[in-house]
Amino acid sequence: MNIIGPDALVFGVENVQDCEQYLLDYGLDSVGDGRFEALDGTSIVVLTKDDASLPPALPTGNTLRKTIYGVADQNTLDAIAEELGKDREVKLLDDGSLEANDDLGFTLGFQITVRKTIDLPAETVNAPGAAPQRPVNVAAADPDAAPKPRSLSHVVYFVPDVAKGEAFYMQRLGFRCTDRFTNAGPFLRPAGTRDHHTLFMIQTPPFLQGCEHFTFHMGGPTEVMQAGTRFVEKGYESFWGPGRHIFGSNWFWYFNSPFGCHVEYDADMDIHDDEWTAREALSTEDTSQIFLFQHREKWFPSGGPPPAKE
Amino acid sequence: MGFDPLDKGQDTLFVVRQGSVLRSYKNDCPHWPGSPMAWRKNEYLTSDRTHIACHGHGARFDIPSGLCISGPCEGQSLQSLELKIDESGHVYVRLEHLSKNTV
Repeated sequence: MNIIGPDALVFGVENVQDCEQYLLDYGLDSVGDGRFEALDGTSIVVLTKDDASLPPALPTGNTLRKTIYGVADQNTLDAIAEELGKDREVKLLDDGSLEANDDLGFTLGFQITVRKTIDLPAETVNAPGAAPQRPVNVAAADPDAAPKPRSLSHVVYFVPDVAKGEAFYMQRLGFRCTDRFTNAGPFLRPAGTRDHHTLFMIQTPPFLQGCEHFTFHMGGPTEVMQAGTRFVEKGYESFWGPGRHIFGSNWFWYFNSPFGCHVEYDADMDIHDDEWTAREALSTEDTSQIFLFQHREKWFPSGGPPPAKE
Repeated sequence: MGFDPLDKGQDTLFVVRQGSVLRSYKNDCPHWPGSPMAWRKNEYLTSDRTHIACHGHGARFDIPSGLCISGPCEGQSLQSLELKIDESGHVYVRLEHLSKNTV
């Protein structure tokens, strides 16, 4: 199934204004109708929780109402409709997209992807031993840079039955398992992308079911640091990070949010194909990151005479 | 409102006022100890201001008691901190109560 990845996540919330402001401050652009887009057209949609157009909420009340996947072409949509139609209702919506539930009760959408091809440089690194990655006389550090989220990277679900969830995505929709945390769950990659994962699932008691976090890819580690710092300076609450994960290798920085789940900036994720052999580990402080930092107020060693006593 | 008296770089306690009563709790959700709870500076309450909320996974807590009434840590409680208020209205908290396993 040529599924590329999540095009959009749809949330139904009580505090629409707080959530909208949060997404603007995070760096997404408002394009109307509650949709907030990244540079490639992937998006988060925020509506009031009673909006009649929304699929029903999970019994847990989690604010994620729908995960919309982008696929390569109509053939893929037809194949998905046929496969899922064997044992569940598959709705055809007015815009040509499909809607159906996965085996855990999450509402999924499938559409021909809205992702635009974007042509942006990756972060450049100059290092001894390798050719310089940027031209002479180009200064990389820009304190006024305002890096923007480029593309919806992945979503993480808390699920009551990881084995059941994994079986659905892998056997019915053709996702691959790239790596696995034994006591949590699998990192899943749809066949249409090489990103390490677009979906990760964590085994939890049933009352937690829902979205744990979502994240957008930034252009590199410095963009994660700079966007995260800007976000902290606006008053938002850092939860975990910045740091670098081991599985996936991506830089991460997670924040609390008014959505009832975490929101992350990530960058520089590994890409994989079917030649890769999945790794497995127990998830611990040591297996989930190489290092972990914490934001601090700027300081510098000033070296002059000590300041006058107040 | 959140405060960072130990200069950790992130607020470690917050104070909620209901009418004239002030209560203080450690900014540390019992769901995953070490987890900060606000979603933005000083934002520790639900949008309707009736409960304390943790903005990691949406748990709700009773303001007077700190008891989690819904969410992943239901039945567990926030760690409350004793406040002392002097005649001029200055509010004090004992720092050693705060520094036991801080965020």
